[in-house]
Parts: sequence; structure tokens; C-alpha cells
Amino acid sequence: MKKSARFFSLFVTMALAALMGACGGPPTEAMDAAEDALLNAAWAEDCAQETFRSAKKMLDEAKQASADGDYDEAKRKAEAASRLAEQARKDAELDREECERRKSAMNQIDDRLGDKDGSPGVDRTDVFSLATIYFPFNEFALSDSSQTDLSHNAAWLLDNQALRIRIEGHTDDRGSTEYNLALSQKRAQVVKRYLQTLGVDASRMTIIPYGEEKPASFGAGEGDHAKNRRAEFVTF
Amino acid sequence: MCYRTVDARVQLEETLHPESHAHLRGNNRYLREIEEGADFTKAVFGMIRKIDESLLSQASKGSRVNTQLARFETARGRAARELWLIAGVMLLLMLLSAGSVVAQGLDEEEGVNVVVNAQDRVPIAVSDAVGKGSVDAQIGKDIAVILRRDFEISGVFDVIDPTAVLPGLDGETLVSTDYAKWFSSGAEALVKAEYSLNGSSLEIDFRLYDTTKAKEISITYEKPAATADKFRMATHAFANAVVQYYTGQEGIFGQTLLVVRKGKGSSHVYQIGTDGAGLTKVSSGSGINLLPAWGPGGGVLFTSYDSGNPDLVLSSGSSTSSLSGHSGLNSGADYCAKSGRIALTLTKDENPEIYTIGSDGSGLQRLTDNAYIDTSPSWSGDCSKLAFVSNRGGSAQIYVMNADGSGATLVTNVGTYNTSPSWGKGGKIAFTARDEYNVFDIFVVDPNSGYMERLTQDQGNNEEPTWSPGGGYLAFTSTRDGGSKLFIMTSDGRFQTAVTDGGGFETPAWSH
Repeated sequence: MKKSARFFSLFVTMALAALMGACGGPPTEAMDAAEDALLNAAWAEDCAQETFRSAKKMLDEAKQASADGDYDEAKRKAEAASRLAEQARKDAELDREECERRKSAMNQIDDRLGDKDGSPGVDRTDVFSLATIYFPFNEFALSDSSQTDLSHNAAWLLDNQALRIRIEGHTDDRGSTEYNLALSQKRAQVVKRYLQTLGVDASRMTIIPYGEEKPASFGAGEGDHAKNRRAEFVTF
Repeated sequence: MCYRTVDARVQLEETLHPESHAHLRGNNRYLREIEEGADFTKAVFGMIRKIDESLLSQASKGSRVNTQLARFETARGRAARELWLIAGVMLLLMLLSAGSVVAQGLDEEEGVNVVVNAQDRVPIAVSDAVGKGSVDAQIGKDIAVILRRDFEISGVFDVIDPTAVLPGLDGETLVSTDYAKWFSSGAEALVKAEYSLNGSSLEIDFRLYDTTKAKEISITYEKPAATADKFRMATHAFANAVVQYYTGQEGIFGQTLLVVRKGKGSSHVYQIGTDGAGLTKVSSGSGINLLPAWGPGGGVLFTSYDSGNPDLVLSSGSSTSSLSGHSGLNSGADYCAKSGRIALTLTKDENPEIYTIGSDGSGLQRLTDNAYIDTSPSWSGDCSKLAFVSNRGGSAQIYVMNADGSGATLVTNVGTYNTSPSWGKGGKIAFTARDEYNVFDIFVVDPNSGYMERLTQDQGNNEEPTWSPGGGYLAFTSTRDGGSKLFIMTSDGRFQTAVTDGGGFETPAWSH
């Protein structure tokens, strides 16, 4: 349903663009290119969420500018939207495996949330695993997508009150060993605090920082680094 | 006179680095002044100032400030060194052609002190040690191998092998030396040794010769006892004495570094000699052991995950005891013997903060208190201050504070990732910086003036510096030829030598 809506709006936009193109004013080509770039990057939406959203927003602004008759501005924004969409695709491609994993996790959650009654006899702990939270280099702030992941994690933790969790903080292996320990502590700490704000009792959560000592991936590529900058959950 | 001076200038200019050369060409006025006999000091300072101005204006224009400033420091240092060399040679030529005799008294009898950062290394030859009485050829070879390696790492010498060209030199005895042959083979210093075995005890007679003066240099030093199995320390002691003779500075051989070696899934603390020999495991178990430092009573402090929590432990002899076991991090200890205090990072209240404890783990005192990261404390030589890393200003930078946590001030203000401070005896703080090309390199900064120098560049990632006890050298890790090897460099960064063959080495710690 979501998908068909997206296609419909695309169709309308293209039709409009074609009409306006006939008038000679609006930057039809640039807008079309941006739409194409967004379509190409659509599969990456779950992985490069922020960049993809920025691309979408930029294209919306381009459309608005075009509707207002400010064609130069519309062209500039459409081109920026193309670049952002391309960036989102590239970012996601760097780490395609992880992206697919996250998508399937999201689908699982969507499936479960869609089926509110739940299937009797299915133990949720078998199906659901607490989503790992990822971070950019040398940062410990939660992105929008991480906050979404954590809200799902929190919902599950509230449903499973008997379980306790250990939050393990990690970094990639670049930079100071000692600073990375502190950084991994901060990552685990912000995750714990966020879960707390979502109602998970602090007494159920402990933290352990591992710095760069326990990589999820042993390679030295950006994809490996991205996989290693994380906060993981262990239940007990 | 003028002709000879100009000739010398041309020759010297040819040896200049292109960058300095360009600046010199742009400042011909100063060179003319020198040729015309103007005040040398004034002219050279004028040129250096000119180079400073031009490089600074470039730096302020560029957006890549970090690299520009580092290049500025490098180029400035190089230009200054080269200019002083030129000025010196010109002065000498002028004095000679004017017939002045000022050389008298320059040639001191003994102990001519050449600083470690001399323009060129002293070419030194080391003969295999010869046996007196019962002979063990392997001992003779091993002694020479140890000496050659020490001389290489010292940065003071260029170790050469004249016997490859003049095999006859091999046959010399300990005391009969054909100076002319050694000198013409390129060796300016020559080391010979003779050993004699008495049962298991080994007597080694080391000799140092100056081939440029055609004489033996007698050096006195404390000789450790040696046996047929253990003569490394006795050999290091002589190497140190030779380094001391040529530089007036400490020799570092025979000292021990602590280092972590990382495997897949486990890390262990090791001891290793400054020449890379004697790698010995300190930590046990199969877990994670990190961030070693020399502790009270010659013990080894490090962070171990053996208990399931990163605790600070002290390994002394064959026993290991826990010194700090708060929930969360107990990491990065630095012990200052003069005050008996250990500085470390704890996360017992979740946020990483710096504390100090006594040498038995008691007397906890908190030094930092804010919502940011504070970590990596390193004591000043007199235990009155600490350098540390904090991101309180938005990015990881080096700060200093008093031993009680008061008076925290920012030291580094370039770049966005400056970590791993090590405060040296000479007062300077060495640290690792990440530049805008995501490369890690080692810098030193004077915490009082903020004056910064770059010691490594364009050779892989260089990280985790630690000062030698006397401040003449730094140990660090580098990925320049694969893996992460342990390196030692002179404190000005000019001579850098790999100490280990293998990789996987991290966070070296020299004694305070």
C-alpha cells in the first residue's frame, strides 16, 4: 500500500513535470533526474535513512519552489536531491550485507506489529532479537533510525519483564585504545539512558565497555568499521 | 673570497630540500647580504622570519589548517637547520680565506658532545668479537649483532660494514688498529671486543676507536656481570656508554618497555627490550588485557577483563592482585613514583572521569566531574600536574590540570582528534593526532607555549607515543610496513627504527 502510494505520487509528479516542461519554465529534467535517483536509492532507505530522508525533503522543496515559479531555486534543489539520493545509495552499498540484515529485522518487526493478536504458541524470544545500535566515527549520539530501533527494543523489553540485559559498547579499531574504551562506555551509556526514558527500569540494565577489543568484523574497510561501531545487547 | 663563498653556496643549495630551496631563491637579498659580509645572525634570522611569514600566510589561507600548520612547523625547522648550516660553513670559509686562526681549542681532548639531532650520523664499524683462550664463535658474532642493532636504533650512528670491501680488516687484533684503512673505508668510529670464557663466566673487553683522530677513546662505565648465556646487558651497557660519549645523553639499551600484543579475541601484556629482544608475557588467562604501565615496586599495572569487569590489576613477581575493581572501567593507569599516586579512568558513576588512588589502591580522589569524556591521564615529571584527553569542548583534545583536578586548561587547538598524551621529562607532551585525511601521526606540544611539532608524516598510522625516561627518545606503534610494529625514534623524530619484526603491538609504555 505504501509502495503503490509512492508510485502514484511519482506518476502525478512526472505528469505535472511533463506539462510544466511544455511551458518552458520549470526545470523538468533536473526534477526527473532527482525522482529517478530517489527510486534507485529506495532499497537503501532503511540503511541510509537520514540521507535518504534529506533527499526526499529536498525534492519536495524543489517541487514547492517550482510551483511558486522560482525555477532557479527549484533546479538547484532538484540537483541537490539527486546528489543526496546518490549518496544514500552509495552509503548503503558500502555495507549492503548489514543493510539487508536490518531490513529483514525491520520486516519482522513490521510483521509482528501488523499482527496485533500474535500467533498463539509462538515464543517471541525465538523470533525477536534486540537490534544492535550503530554509530558514526567518534560519536555517541543516537540517530533517528537508532531511536526507532531502540523504541522497538524497549517495547520488547517491557513485554519481557523477567529478562535483564547487558549493554556492550564497542568502537572500530582506529584511534586511541584508551579513548575508544571511554567512547564505547558513552555509547552504552546513551543507549541505557534512552531505554530508561522509554520506561525500561535501570535496575534491569548493566553496561560494559569493550572499546576496540571485540570487533564484529575483523576487516579494515569502511564496511567493517561501520559494523564495529555499535552497542549490542545480551539478555540473561 | 667572494668566489669561494658563492661556490660553497651553490653546493649547499644543491643539497637543500626543494621546499626550503624555493624559499631561499625568493630571498636572495639575504644571501647577498651574507656574501657581502653583513651580520650573519641578523641575516639568517631575517630569512627565517621571511619564511615564517610566507608559510603562515599560506596556512591561514588554507582550510586544511592542521596539515598546513604541521607542514609549516616541519618546513620551518628544516629551513632553520639548513640555514644555520649554510651560515656556519660560510663563516668558516670566510675566516679561512681571511687567514684568521680561530680553530685553536675547538678540538677538545675527550668527550666531544655532538647532539643527537646532528645533521649526519657518525659512520661506525663493529667487528665481530674475537675469543681469547677457548673460543665460541657464536658469542663473538652475537656480541657484534647486539651492538650493531643498538647503534642503529640510537639514531646517532650509521652502522657500516667496511670488511665487505676490505676483508683484511677482519684479521686485526683488539689493540692493533690500521686507522688509515678503517678511515678510508668510511668508518669514523670503530668498535672492537675480545671475550674470554672462564667456566660459565664471560669477560668482555670492549674498545672504542676514533679513526678520524687515529686513537683509542677510553670510556668508563659500570660493567654488568656476564655469563656465556647472558651477555646482552653487559653489551648494552657498553653501547650506552658509546652513545653517551657521542651525544652527552642517555643510552636506552637494557631498558624494558611494556606493550600489548593483540591476537584475534585476546590481548596480552608483554615486556620487551628496547632492542626488541626478550619478549615476555606478563598477563595470563585467555581474555583481554590492556593499557599497561610501570607500577609501584617495579610491578606492572594493567586493565584485565578476567573477572568479567575491566579491573585495574598489579602484577608483581608471580602474583597478580586487583588494585581497583569498581563496576565499569578501571583503566589507563599512570603511576608517579615521587608522589606514589596512580591516576586512572573510572566509570563507576557511568561517565568516564579521572581519579587518583594510592599505590595500594586506597585513598580514592576524584579529579574531573562533567558530562563529557575525560580519560588518558599522564603525570608530569614532578607529579604536580596531569595531561589528559577530554571532549568537553566538542572534540577530543589534550588538556592539563593540577594533581587535585583544579586549573584544567586546553593545550591543543588544532584538529578534532588529539589523544594518547605522554608527558616527558623535558616538559613536552607527545600525543597522537588524526588529520583531515584520517591519518594518525605523532606530535609533541609544549604545554606552556602551545608550540607544536610534527614528528611523523606520510608513513602509515603512527600512534600511542611514550617517552624514554631521560626524554631523548619516544617509542610508538606504526603501520608503515604492515602490521602494527613497535618503533623507537629520537625525540626530534629524525631517526625512526622498527624494534619488532612482527605486528599486533599496541600502547607501549616506557618507565617514568
